[in-house]
Amino acid sequence: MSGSASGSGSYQAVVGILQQKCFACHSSTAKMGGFVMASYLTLMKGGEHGAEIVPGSSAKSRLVMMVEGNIQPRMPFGGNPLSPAEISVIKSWIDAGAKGPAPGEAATLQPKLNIPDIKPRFREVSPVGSAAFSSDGKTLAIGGYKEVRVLNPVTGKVLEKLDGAAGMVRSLAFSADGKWLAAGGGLCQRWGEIELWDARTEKLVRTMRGHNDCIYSVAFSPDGKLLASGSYDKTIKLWDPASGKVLRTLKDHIDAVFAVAFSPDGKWLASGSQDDSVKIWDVATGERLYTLSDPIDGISSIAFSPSGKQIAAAGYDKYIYIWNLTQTAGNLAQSLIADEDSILQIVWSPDGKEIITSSADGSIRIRDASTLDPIGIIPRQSDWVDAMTLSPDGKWLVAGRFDGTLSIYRMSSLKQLLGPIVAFKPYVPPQETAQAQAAASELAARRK
Amino acid sequence: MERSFLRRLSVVVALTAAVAAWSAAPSGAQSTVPYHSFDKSESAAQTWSHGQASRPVQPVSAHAVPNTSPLTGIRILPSSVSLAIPLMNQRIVVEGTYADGHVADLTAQASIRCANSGIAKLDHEDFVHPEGNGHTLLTASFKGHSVSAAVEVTNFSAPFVWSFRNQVLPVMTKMGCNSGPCHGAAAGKNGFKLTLRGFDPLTDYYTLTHQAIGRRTNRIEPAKSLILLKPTLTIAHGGGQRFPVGSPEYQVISGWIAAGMPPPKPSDPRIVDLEVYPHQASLVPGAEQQLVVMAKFSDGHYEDVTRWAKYDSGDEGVATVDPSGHVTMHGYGEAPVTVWYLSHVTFARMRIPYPYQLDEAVYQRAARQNYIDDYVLAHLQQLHIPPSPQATDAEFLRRAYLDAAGILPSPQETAAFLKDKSPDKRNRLIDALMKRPEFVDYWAYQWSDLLLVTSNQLSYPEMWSYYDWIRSSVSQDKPWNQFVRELVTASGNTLENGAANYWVIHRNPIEISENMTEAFLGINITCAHCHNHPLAKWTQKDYYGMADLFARVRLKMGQPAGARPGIGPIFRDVTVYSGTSGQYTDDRFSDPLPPKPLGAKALPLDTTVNLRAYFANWLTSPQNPYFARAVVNRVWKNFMGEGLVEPVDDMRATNPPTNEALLAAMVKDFVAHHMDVDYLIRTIMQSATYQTSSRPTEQNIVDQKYYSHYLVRRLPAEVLLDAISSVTQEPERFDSYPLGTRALQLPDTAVQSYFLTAFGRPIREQTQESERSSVPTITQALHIINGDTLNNKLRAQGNVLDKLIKAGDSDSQIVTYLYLAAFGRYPTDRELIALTGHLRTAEGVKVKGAMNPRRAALSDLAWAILTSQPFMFDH
Repeated sequence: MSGSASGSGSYQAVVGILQQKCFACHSSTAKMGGFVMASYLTLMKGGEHGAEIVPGSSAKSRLVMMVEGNIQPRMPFGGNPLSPAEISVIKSWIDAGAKGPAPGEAATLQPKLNIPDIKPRFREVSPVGSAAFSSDGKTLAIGGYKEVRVLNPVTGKVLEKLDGAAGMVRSLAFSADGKWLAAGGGLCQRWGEIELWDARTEKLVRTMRGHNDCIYSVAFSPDGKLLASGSYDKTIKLWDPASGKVLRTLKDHIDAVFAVAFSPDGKWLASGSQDDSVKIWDVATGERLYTLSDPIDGISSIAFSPSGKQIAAAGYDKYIYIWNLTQTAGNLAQSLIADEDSILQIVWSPDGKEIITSSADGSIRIRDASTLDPIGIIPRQSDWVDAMTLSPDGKWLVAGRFDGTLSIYRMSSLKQLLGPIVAFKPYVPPQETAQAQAAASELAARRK
Repeated sequence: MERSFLRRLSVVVALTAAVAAWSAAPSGAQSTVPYHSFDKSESAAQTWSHGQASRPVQPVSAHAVPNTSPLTGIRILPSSVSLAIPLMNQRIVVEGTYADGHVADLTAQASIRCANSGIAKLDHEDFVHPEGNGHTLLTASFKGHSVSAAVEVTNFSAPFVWSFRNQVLPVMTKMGCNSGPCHGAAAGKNGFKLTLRGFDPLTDYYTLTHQAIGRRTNRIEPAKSLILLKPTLTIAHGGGQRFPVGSPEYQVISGWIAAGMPPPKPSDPRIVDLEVYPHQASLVPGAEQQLVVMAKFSDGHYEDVTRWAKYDSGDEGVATVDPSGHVTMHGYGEAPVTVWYLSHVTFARMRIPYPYQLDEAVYQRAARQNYIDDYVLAHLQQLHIPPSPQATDAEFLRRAYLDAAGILPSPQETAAFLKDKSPDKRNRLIDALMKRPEFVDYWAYQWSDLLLVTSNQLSYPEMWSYYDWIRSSVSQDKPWNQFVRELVTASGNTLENGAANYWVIHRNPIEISENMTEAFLGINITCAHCHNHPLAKWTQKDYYGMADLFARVRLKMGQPAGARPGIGPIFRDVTVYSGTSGQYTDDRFSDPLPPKPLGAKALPLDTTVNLRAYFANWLTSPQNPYFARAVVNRVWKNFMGEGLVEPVDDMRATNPPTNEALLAAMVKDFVAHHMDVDYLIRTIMQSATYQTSSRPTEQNIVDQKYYSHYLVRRLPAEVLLDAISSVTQEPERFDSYPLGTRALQLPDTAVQSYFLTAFGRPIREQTQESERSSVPTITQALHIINGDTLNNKLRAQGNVLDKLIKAGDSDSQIVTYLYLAAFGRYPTDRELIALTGHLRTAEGVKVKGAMNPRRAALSDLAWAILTSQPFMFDH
């Protein structure tokens, strides 16, 4: 461990050591000996043998005895023993009272990674991971690597650059009243985070950390009082955007949650997961009402009908599913193999008449929502369309792609109004030689 | 007899001991357990019979035999180095050759220099690194020997990007990422799913780069990619650390990410060959040998893939291999070391010859009848294993009858053959045997096993029609390709065309396709039903594409003919025909796959070609690498007791034959002779290899797979029962078959027989060699010792004993007769004296309530003979 912020004997320093030496077996998934070190809470709780840490007394702490080899087997099990310096960091932290993370500091705070600094050899641009229109349709937010940009959807002009995200911004949502813009993301396998921006002043209100993995979907309740997040860590959280507090954690999915959506009346929350299901939750109680388990593979995207009586979902199995929903059950109304490869995004038009999907097969397809008959297709997308949204009036369709390009289409004609534009600033290698450029263009050609 | 049993026990024991004396010496080394025994526990528990678990390879301590053979030369492997790809190195090995034929890895001891260090350098781990374009020379010297290898470096400063298909995926495969227990599992691991061993590069590419919004790779900050953070254990990873930061593996994957993750393209060079150095080697005990593996690509370039190939030893008692391709030799014998890279497989045959100083003359003098013997002896010579001498006429005679026709020679035939002094009598006997109806019965039975003839699936008339077609094909000596072609393309009424019944017993295209590949190609594709084959190159697409070839077969059912348990209703008068359209679809695929034989060209979905004829052309073609090979191996096993490939229905590339050169030569010969099975049988039977004694010598007793001596095995169920019936002259009764029908004449394995079931008769439900069991069981032991089958035949009035007594034969004549009938030989003087002596004693013992004492004593004699190893075993 190095770095002054996480000085010797601090919680961060200890986490740094545990992270490197112990987490492989004491993660929240491996749970060896029932001892999970993933958060301060579980670290202090201990495992099958009770508390592993006795605040104020490193000599009485089982964890210390085990890493020193006074209790067998010596830890880390089967690995190299900790160095005396590492052991002393742990001991001094325990002797100083084994204090947890400071207020505002995340409980699962993780240290800087000890990795080499490898730069891309060629020009690279961030994928477009997410897109959302403001409720008045006047601005379009797009999420990329560590960045959100706010554009004028007519000109493509960048109005604002919002920095601060730790990683890829995988989901964006404006509150209906236009007050907030939430950007969901985080670092894979480490934590989820949401940047909450004041949508009018473009000021960061707060960063909310939670989840053990990055967030794939955020959604505001229609009244703007709740913010839902779905994460790869299999859970859904309901946040109070006003305070930044987690109100509830919904645990029932057994695999990553890729999509969350509130019903138009705000009573239900729907979630789509890699566990091949869609679940409907009661927002008021946090109870799971029922599970829609018709899909045969992971669900990547969901959309409520504007009436709120139906929900559409799609994913890896290439099907579009539409269920009729009641308070107690959902019945499959329609299903159709809609594309030739995984479906990435599904959107229901504001007038309820059309369903639009983007697929790994390179197409965007527009279908009649009542029959799922094809109406139109925008073929040959240059890469996967992971970000797709309609303007609030339903007239414009935004497609943001994995290759970093963005287009806006007119729904009535499927003609491209804007783009393809490169939405984010490309990374250009510092000494980009003529040779590297030649190689880059060769690579670009190969990618097509 | 039961009441006298205990009192006579001592007599029986004495008789048994005399009879068994014959086999005492060699018996211990013989095995009836198949080489690839699936259930060792079951067989190991049984020691009553000849069977004994395979003797482990003798381990040798390192340098047990100091090798003083002089060094005759050294060479560099590979013999020249071409570095055409920047960042790629070439491992080299310096190999010493010695006067006695062994080799040694001298890389560590030899001094190795590169003439021009501006072109190439050698590191301390014996890798040649490129330093600049040009030519130079690598020179190795050791103890006065010196050798050079040309080094060529090209493209040194050309822009280079790691290839996803040819480098990144193989690295991940080597690290185990896409193995069955990890992300290669059908359900993936923690939401991350790769194709098993990287069989589908494009799918893996999208999973790694695109899926879940580029979750696993980071093209802007490459080192933050999950596929680098996790396997290096920079962050927690359930699979532990697979490679450290900065390792060559890390460099390949991070280098590819930093280059913008170029996808696999159709125009990528493809691997066309895999070469391993040394390809084969005789080493000394304790020796270590580094392998060098070169992959050749379609654009002509070679890559050193030693580090990323996967290795496996075929016999860890002989050689072990570590993940870097470093072999350590342990025990005498030969081990194929499998090398796997990018779905290509090759082998290095690593051996320690047995520690016998054998004169060249041992092999020169050894009997040779045809080319089979040349290949077998050459291999034995490499291994320093001497062949056993040739079998005696009596041994050969009995073995030939049993192996070719499933019967014992009659006493008269044996006597005549032993008396015959002509030099070609063995070949004449082989020809004569092959003309006998029992030969036809035997082979019709073999192929009926393979083609699953049973009334469990067919009405009786249909079953007979099917069997009759097979039998008549055997009696006409129909070429194998024609036989199989008739079966595959069979149409019409099942009573008129027996072959058509093959299409009735298989009820769907999947079953057909699985059974057909197993029966005729020796390939098991069943794995690919649910996932890609883990040990072979077959994918699910291959599997369902193959099934689609049979989707147009239609059956028109005639009249109901009852029902069979587990099968349902069956019909008679069925008509088999080919429809003109139809596809087999499976839920796994949204679209039907085009019909496609394994590894062959696919037909368009809407083809109007007759699919079965198309398949038959492909299947039976001499160019099909599996077809002739599979049947040659099956027939070879019938005579030799051990297939060149075991099991015979698992001929995948990763399961090599023990003697590839021999198998290839036999296949070539068989194809050149129009796939004439009788010709193949004759060739094998005429070989000196087949006619080798079953008595091992002290120096070849450990050999169970190189054919230095004939392998002793228990008679198959049907042959054994027929043999008991023929010696006792008491035919077995089979329900609704005329008295006198032999077990091998039954067309159907659904015929009730406790004996046949106990001794492992197959039920003919699945095309699997393992359906027939040769594993000894307690049931068999008890049934032989005290079961109805043998006792009833010995007790029966008018059996062979009554006939001999009635004819007025003396004890000595009866012993001689029974020896000829059961063992195919005369008793020795010692045996005759001992047995007649025992008989005299036993005949004097009166047992209350028992039959006539002489008859009882003779019954005991016959019992002892028929339960003895020399009778129950083929040797």
